[in-house]
Amino acid sequence: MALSVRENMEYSQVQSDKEAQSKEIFYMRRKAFFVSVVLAVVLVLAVIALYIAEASIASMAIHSLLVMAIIALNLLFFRFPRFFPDIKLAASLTVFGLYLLSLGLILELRVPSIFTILFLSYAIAAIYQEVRSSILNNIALFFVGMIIIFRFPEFFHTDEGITPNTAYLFVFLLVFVALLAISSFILLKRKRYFFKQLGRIKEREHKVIDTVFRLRENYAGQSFNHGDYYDNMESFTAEFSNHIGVKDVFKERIDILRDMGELDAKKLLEKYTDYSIGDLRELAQLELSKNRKMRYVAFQASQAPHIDISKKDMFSERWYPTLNHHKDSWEVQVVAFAVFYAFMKTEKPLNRSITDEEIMEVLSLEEFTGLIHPSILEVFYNNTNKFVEIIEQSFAKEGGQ
Amino acid sequence: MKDLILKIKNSEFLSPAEVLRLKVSLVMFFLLVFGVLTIPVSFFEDFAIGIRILVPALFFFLFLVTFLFLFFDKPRLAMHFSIYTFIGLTVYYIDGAGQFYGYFLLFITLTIIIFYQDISTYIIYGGALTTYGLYFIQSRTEMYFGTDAAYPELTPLIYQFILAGFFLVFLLYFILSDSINEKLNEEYLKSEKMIERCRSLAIKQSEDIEYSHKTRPYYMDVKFETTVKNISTFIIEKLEQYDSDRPLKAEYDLNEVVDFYFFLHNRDVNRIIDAEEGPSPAKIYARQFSKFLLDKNAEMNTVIFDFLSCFVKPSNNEFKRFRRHIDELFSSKTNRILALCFLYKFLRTEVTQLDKWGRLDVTMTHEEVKQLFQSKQFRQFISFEGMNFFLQNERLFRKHLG
Repeated sequence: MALSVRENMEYSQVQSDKEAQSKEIFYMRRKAFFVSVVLAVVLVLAVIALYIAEASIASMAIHSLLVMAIIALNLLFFRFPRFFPDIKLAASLTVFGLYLLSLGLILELRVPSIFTILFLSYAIAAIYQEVRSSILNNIALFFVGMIIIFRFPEFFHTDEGITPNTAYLFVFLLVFVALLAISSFILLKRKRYFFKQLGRIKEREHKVIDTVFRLRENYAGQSFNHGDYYDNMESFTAEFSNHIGVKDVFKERIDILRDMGELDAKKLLEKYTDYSIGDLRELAQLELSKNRKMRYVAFQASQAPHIDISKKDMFSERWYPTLNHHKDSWEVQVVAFAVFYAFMKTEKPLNRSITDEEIMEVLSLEEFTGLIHPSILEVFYNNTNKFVEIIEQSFAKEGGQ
Repeated sequence: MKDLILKIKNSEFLSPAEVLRLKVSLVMFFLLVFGVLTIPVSFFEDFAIGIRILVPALFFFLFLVTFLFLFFDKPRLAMHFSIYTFIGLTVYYIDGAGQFYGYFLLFITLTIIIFYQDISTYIIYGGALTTYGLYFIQSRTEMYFGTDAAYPELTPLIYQFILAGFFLVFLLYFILSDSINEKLNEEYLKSEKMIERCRSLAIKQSEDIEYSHKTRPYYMDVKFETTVKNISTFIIEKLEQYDSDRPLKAEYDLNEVVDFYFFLHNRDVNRIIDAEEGPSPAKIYARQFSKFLLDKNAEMNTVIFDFLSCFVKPSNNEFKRFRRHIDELFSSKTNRILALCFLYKFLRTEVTQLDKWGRLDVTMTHEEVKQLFQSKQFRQFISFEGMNFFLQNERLFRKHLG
C-alpha cells in the first residue's frame, strides 16, 4: 500500500534521525577513549598527591580503584560496541564517578586548593558533549560545590588565617555554573540540529538520485537489468574461483540474491539453513531487484570525481533556500510563489500534478517553515478554490506548448 | 531579557554571527552583574585612591566599548573586548584583593573564553591567562593563597595542576570538537554537492525529454506563463484587499514583470545586471529574479527539488542505510568481492557521465574505471585492499563485467 506524503516524510525523518543518532554515538565512542587517556594522567597525579599528603593505603587504593573503574568503563564501551552499545550510559556513569572521586579527594585532603578539582572533573566530563551527561555534569558541579561551600566552610581556611567569604564563593560558583550551563546548552542544541540536518541531507541525496534514475527509466526507456548483473557476477566468480583453485563459494550467495527478489526472510532461512538472519541481512544489501542500496552507492561513486570540496566551502556560512527574501520586492516574491505553485500543478517529466492538500501538508512541515512570506501563504490558504479555478482555466485555454 | 531567553531556546536556527551576538550579550549581562556585585565591595580593600577610581572607570569604559561594538554590529570585536574586561578584572583581583577569589576568577575568565567556542581565541587568551596564573601561583603562593600546615609543598602544586589541567582538557575538547566538526561538515558538503549535481542532471534530463516529446520546458510554455500571470495578479489583488495600508501596490504592471521574468530565461543575466546602459529597474528585477530562474540550477530549483523530494518514496533499506564504503557495508570478504563486481559493472554499463552537450549519456571505459578505482576520492568507497584485488584480477573484471 502506498504511503501518504506525511507517512513518507515521517519514515524518512525516522531514518535520518537514526543516522543522526548513530553519528553522535560513533563520535562519542572516540571521545570515551580520550576521556580514558585524560583519566590515566589524573590517576598518576592523584596517587602522587595522596602519597605526598601521606594518605592511608586504604584511601589511596579506594581512589585509584575508582579512577581505574571509570577508565575501564570507558574503554569497554569504546572497544566493544556490540556488547556495550549504550555509550550515553557510560558518559552518565563517568560523570557520577568523577564527582564521587572529587568529593572523596576534597574530604580526604581538606585544603582550599583541592576544591577546584570539581572544575577539572567538569572539564573532563564536558568532553562527551552529550545532553544527558551535560545536564548531570552541570547539576553535579553546582550541588557538590554548594555542599562544600556551605557544609564545610572550614576547608577554605589557610594557615595564614585567610578565610574567603562564603557568599562571595557562592556567587563565583553560580556565575561559573550558569555560564557553563548556557554554553553547553547552546552548543548541544546546535550540534544536535546539525546532526539532524546531516541525516536529512543524506536522505534527500538518495531521493534526488532516485529522481535521476526515474527520469532515465520512465522516459529514456533505460531500465535496470538486475538479471544481467547476477549472471555476469556468476561467470566472473566461477572463473575467479577456478583461477585460484578453490571451491566456488559465491554461487550460493548469488542464488540467494536471486531468491531474495521472490522469497521472504522466513522462507529464505528455511531454504538456506547455513545462513543466519544477520548473514542474510548483510547480503540483502546486494539484492538488486527490490533494493536500490548498491545502485545509490555506485551512482555516488560514479560522480565522485566531480564532487570537489574547497576550503572556502568548508568555512562559508550555510544558507537555506527560500522564496521569502525580505530584500526582494513584493512583485518578485509574488511571482516566485506563483512560479513555484504553477510548477507543482503542472504535469511534466519532473513531477506529477500535486494537489493543494498535498502542498499544504508539505508546507506545514518544520523544514519548510519560512519558505514563503506569511502574507502570501495566507492568501493561498484562504483562497485555495480560486487557485484551483485559475489553474483549471489556464490549462483549459487553447495555445501554449 | 525575554527576547534573549527566546534566542537561547532557538539558538540552533541562528547563523554563526547571530550566535556570537547572543553570546556577547550574555557575557555582558554576566559582566554587569559581576562588576556591580564585586567592584563596590573591593573599595573596602586596602587600595590606593587612584586604583579605587581607575578600576571602576576602566571597567565601565571597556563595558561601554563592548556595548558599542555590539550595537554597531561588530560582534567579533565586541567579543574581544568582553574578554579583555574579564581578564582585567581577574588581574585586578589576583594582584590586588587576591586570595581565593582571584584564583576562582581565573576559571571564570577561562569559561568566558570557552563560552565563545573559538579555538584560536582560546589558545591565545586562555593560554596567556593560564600562563599568568601559573606564574603568579608559583611566585606569590604563600602571600595570597596561603599554605596548608599539613602539606605546604602540595598546595601550589595542586593549584597549578588543576589550572593547567583545566586549560589542557578544554584544549583537547576544542581540538576534538573542531576535528569532528570538520569531518561532519565535509560529509554534509559532499552530500550537498551531490544533490546539486544530481539536480542539474535532472533539470537537463527533463528538458531533453520535453524536446524529444515535442513539448517545451516550463519557462518556454505559454500556458505555464499565463498561469503564473493569473496567480500573481490574484495574489497582489488579495494582498491589497487585506491591508490597504501596506505598500503592496505594484510599481510596474505585473504582467510586464512576469514577461520580464520569462524573458530572462536562456539569457546571460549577469550581462543584463552589469550592463552600463539600460533602465535601472530592469537591472534590479534581473538581480532579484536571477536566483528564481527555472533553467538555472539556482534557488528556485533547490526549493522545488527539496519540496518534490517529499513525494519521492523513501528507500525501504534500513540496514546501514547511509554507509557507502564497501568494508563498512560488508564484513564478509565474499560479499565484498561481489560488491566490487557490482560496482565495476555499474560503472562500465550504466550511463553516468555527461556527453559534450552536457547530457547524461555516456558510460565509463575500462581505463576510466581503473583510474577512478586508483583515485584518492575513491577511498570513500573501497579500501586499498579492494583496489589491489581489482588490479590483480583486472582481466577477469574486463572479460565478464565490462
